Amino acid sequence: MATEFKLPELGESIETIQVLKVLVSVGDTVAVDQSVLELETDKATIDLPSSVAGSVKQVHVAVGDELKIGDLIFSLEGATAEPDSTPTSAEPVAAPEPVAPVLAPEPARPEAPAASPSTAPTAVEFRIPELGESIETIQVLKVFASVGDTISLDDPALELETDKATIELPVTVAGVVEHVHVNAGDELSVGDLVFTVMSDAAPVAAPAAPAPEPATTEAPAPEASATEPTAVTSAEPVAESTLPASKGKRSPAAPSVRKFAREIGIDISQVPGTGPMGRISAGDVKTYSKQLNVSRSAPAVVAGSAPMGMPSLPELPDFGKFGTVKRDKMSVIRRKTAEQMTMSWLMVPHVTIFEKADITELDALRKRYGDRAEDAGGKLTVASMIIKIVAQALKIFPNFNASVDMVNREIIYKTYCNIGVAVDTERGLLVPVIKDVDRKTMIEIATELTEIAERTRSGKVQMADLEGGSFTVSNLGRTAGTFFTPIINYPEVAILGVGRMEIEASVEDGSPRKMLPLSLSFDHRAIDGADASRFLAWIIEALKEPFLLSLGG
Amino acid sequence: MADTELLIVGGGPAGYPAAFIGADHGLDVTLVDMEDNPGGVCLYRGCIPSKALLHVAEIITEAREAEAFGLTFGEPVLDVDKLREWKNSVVTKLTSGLGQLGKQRKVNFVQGRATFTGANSVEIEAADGHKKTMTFDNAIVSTGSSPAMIPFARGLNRVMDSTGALALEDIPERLLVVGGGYIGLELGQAYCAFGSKVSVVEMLPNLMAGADPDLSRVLAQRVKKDFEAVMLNTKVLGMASNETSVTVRFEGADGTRSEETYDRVLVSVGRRPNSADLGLETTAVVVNEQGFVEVDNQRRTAQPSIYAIGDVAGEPMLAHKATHEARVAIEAIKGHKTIYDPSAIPAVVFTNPQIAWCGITEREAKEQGIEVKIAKFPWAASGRATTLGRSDGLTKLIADAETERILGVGLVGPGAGEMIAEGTLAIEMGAVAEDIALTIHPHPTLSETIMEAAEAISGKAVHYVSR
Repeated sequence: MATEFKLPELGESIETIQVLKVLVSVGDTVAVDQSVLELETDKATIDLPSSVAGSVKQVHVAVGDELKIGDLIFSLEGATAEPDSTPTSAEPVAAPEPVAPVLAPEPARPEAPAASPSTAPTAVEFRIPELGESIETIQVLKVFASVGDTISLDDPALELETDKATIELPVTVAGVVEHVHVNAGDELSVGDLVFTVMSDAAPVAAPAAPAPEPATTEAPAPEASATEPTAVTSAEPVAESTLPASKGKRSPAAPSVRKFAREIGIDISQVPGTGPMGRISAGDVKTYSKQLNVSRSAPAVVAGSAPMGMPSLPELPDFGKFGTVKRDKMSVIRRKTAEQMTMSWLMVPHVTIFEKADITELDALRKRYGDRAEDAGGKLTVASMIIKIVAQALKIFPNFNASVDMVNREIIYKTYCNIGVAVDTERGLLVPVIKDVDRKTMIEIATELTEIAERTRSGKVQMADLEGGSFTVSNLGRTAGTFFTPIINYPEVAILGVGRMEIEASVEDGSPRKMLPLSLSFDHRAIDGADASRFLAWIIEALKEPFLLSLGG
Repeated sequence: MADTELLIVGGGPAGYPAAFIGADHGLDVTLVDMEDNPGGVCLYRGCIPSKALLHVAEIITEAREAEAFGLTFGEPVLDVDKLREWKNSVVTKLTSGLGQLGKQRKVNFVQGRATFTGANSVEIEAADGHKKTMTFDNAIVSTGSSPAMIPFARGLNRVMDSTGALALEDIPERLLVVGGGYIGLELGQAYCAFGSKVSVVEMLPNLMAGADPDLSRVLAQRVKKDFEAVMLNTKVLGMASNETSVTVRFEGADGTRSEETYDRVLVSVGRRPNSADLGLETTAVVVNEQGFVEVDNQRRTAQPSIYAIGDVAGEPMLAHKATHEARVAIEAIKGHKTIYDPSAIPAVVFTNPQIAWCGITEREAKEQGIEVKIAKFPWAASGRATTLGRSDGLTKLIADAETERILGVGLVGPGAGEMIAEGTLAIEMGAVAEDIALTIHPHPTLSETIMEAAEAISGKAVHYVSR
């Protein structure tokens, strides 16, 4: 019986998922938790582990595909876990009445992966696989194998120069090279034939594990004296909590509708019914589910539809009339930034106030104690010190650590203090979050900031690192720009922009003062100008007299 | 690899549907039961044989009542041996049919007794005493329940439980039924029709205590008329028996004690889940104080490889609930997102008149503080009931006071058991009273009473004016 592996839930509010790499191919034996896809989401690049094990029968996704939760990724044979049954097998079975005799279907018998017991070598082709997003030009720099060579899995086959980088391309087949179809200098495209290899393995692709026996793909066979009872269930138990029973007043919905809702993960008690006396139809469940999806991706304002009767974006002119143009697909992060910023800009009434902070003392302290942070593996920067000061300020001004719930007409105050820091990366702007800043020392914050910024830049940031922020600090850096108007990272209510430090002469004694331009944007629905003025004044005072912090603010 | 993908212990109306549905889902199924065919108590010693006997009893009663219509048959002559033989043939026909259905689905049926020896293994003692162990990926415990017996009545001569009563050894001249629940009243009425002088003794103040009193009252009136005695609020203190009779000591509500002698006594004081002696202690399965196996809403026990369904998994102990659970358990094993989530489970008492109800009862609504509207349609206003000479029935709808959504349905009268399915469907579908009122019901049938009661929820029934 074939099992399907579908894209599981990846985390709250992940909407866009793009395939960066497919790490398995037909015939591969995958194990549970083995990484099978590299995905780019609107939050981070992640490796997707498999929840099933078995031999890959078919791969349904390709590099560049955009996926949704529940999309089929691959089908397996001889799988050991069935997290979700295929719709066909979910057909209700007729009641046990004496209808036409039903033959028991073949019991699921796992097949050996790459079942090809024949030892006669087969010719296998090795072609250029998908290399990555938007790689168009591939030029061969070096060919590592020649006719007669025995190559094995993951041996380097070619050195390629792409428009992004120079890469070594490993082979995904094993055997003796029969024919080499490329030469150094050739320009190739995805799918071009590289080698013909005489392989003992099945023609599809070499199995990842050497000579897998059928038994390895089966559920761990329960011994007569099984001591590990939980290891033998054939299906992953559906936790009771994920399938809540109707509680209290039952929703007015037919059993088929309740089942439908359960299957697509909708809590029937949340679905408004449109029938008489609120009766819920299957259509109501669909509508509700659609609305959920829409509201999750509500900020998709850029896509064209305009909110609140605003005119939609006019059509773009034909730029070709004025000269040649090149169209590049937006990366997922670019697009999400565009959507998020547009939404915030359009929906949140922004006010920005500007002021300079004298950080002469602070910077002196930073230099004096910088070694201590370095000993701890971090770098004491003005930014890390600002984060600490902001955390203190948020305690005193809780309305800056809040969100606005216009639906319920409520302000949501957060008791936690998680500060996001805008980080410029090659792939775009990301905002990793330092959690519980109020409970961390300046050295700890400095260390964590150094580490998380590095991970963000190198694309190794985890989903959890990007979630849960309650206030954002955006540092423009040292290049240029004093004041600017940062856009609030919705649903937060304020953002502090830090500009380039300047040296100014003190009006009192003419001494050089290090002045840091600060730009505070706030959501006028939650915060008034006077609050913002006090909040910023407090921060400036703390920056000027950092000793105040240790006195308890 | 395990010997079987799915092992089912007990082949009653929980176990055999689980086996069949499991096989239809492609599982390799082994079904273990002590009888030579699937069927369980329901087919061998419960629903089916009792309904066969009740059918005969009904013919006798109707023939007698036909005198009022001008039709006289004379006294019926009952050949008990032949009746027993016919009843047994009904059982054999149905159970062997199930055996066939199992074979067609390639269910491996093992006659014997299975005892768990661990989370994934059982020892099966076959009918011939031969023992073997068997491993499984998943198991379903569907061992059902057995009649409860009063300790002092256990093993006494001429004292029987429902199984003994259905065996129909003879027709006793005087029969005492201990327990005024559905089993006692069904079998008591059957023996009454066959010629026994039947008495019933009940500790509680009402017969059929589970049903709303306005429904059970209709049955109670008839029972009082037909039975020799109906003793309510009465305790049985003890029993003594000899070769020919049983002497029973009673204590009434006021403390007065009395003694009566009967030819036979039927003890029908409830049923107990069969969860002992199954080796469940070798697994993580949890059995609660009442003896029920604890399960989650997918019928999975605390031992993830073992499920429990039917009577052994909890109230209500009804075959149709067991069969529904079988489907849930199989789908859960297959990894479907399924749960046991019925809005209503119909209960039917196959007495004369029948009582049937589903959803909440009036009493439950009151206890739970649910605001309800109640409409009753007496069958005296039903043309069809009048043509049957049965105007004692009642149809009752319980609807949400605000939305008029149907929350409970109660019926008493001939054929109530067949009619309750409409009520169950209405509740499951979330129907409001108007949905039923606007659905054309066939005339002249008793089902019209449901439509008329629905009309009465929001306005007036055509054929009845309530005061």
